[in-house]
Amino acid sequence: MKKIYSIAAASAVVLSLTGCTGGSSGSLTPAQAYKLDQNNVCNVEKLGIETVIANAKTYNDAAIKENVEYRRLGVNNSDLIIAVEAAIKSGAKMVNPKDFKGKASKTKLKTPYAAWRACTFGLNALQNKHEAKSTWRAAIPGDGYKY
Amino acid sequence: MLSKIVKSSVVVALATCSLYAGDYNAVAEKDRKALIKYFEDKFADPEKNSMTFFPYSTEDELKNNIKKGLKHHDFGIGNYAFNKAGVATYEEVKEMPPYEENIEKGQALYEKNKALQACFPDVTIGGDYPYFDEKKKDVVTLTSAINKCLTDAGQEKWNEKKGDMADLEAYIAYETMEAGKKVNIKIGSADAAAAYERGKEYYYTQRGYLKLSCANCHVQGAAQRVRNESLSQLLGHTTHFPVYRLKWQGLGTLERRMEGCVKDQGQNPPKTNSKEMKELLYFMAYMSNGMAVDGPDIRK
Repeated sequence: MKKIYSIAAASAVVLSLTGCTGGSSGSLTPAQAYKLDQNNVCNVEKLGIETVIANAKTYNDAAIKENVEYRRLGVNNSDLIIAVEAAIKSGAKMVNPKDFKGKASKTKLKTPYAAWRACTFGLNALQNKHEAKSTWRAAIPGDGYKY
Repeated sequence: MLSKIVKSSVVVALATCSLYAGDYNAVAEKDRKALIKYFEDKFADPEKNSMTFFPYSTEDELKNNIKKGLKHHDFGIGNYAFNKAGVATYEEVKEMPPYEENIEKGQALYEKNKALQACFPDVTIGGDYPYFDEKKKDVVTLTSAINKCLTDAGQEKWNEKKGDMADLEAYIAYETMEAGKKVNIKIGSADAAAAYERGKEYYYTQRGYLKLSCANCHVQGAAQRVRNESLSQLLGHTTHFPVYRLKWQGLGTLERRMEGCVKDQGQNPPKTNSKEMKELLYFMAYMSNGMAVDGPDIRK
């Protein structure tokens, strides 16, 4: 069952990357990301941690291209992904990612949780970007913002 | 007859040009005036209009800590425009400001560097930046102009966030203030208007894992409390930089502050000399057009 979920999720990512969903090829666009459900594509229990972190990398690389990569408590999402990948290789149960300056951060997370967070952070960054295209004017006095 | 035709053609051409030149900033002017009106309305009577503008503030806060009846030019000093509790400390610190030494350092840097003197013969230009370079189709901030001047002269560029850069900008801001000059940002072409629009979109776009826009805190959220601090307002934000921040224990540029703001939203911030950053500052500075340059200043 777990394998089926993994194949399905990987196929979804591949399809979106190859342009089968109608977007530009090469990288996931915010519009394509908006259609994905994080409960499916970032679910460690269903998909396994390797698939989730691979998805995280795909989403985060696209987020970096869009200049919207998340950073929490000094840790860029890309550094969290690197830490999870290293933990998967070494079998470590906890991750301690480097901060954006390359120094040890105070962030210490269980590896499966870190994978889920890296994946949702990558995906949400793209989804927010897509959503903001239609909401940003709502905050401008004299334009979309009424009081 | 021919001279009359030529003259009238020139007049028509100039009139057309000036008409179009005026048009390029039409949207920005509308935005600026609406922003001024918003803040004047918000601070007309905070207690009376609490449900509209301050739904999360206590009655005590609105009654005892927020000034009312503020007008456009009152907003040039950040949250000290309305923050009764903070303004007393602010005025005390301003009596012996910690950035005086930085102004002197900036002046010394300027006076010993011929390249800087050649690039900026007039130092009362703090209100004229950022501007849109029509040839390069790019926004030029004071920080990027200083570094370009240095590198063109074969010198190393400076850190864009603090140190020599902040010191020189403090000297320029001070001289601009002493000359009584105001923020004077121009939008003179369709490309410049597009750069302004992108900066505006950046400002009003929710981003980061906290899904906050700059406006969440500094337009709709201005004067509300975050822990024990009152959030400052967009109007007048750029008039007083660089600032000496107690948190930094030193002077920093506007780019440094904006980088921190985007980081606080939960996102990897744009580089200090990136297109995004420069266009963001272009928009912000335009919102303060017509306000007195009042830097450097002190902030928490």
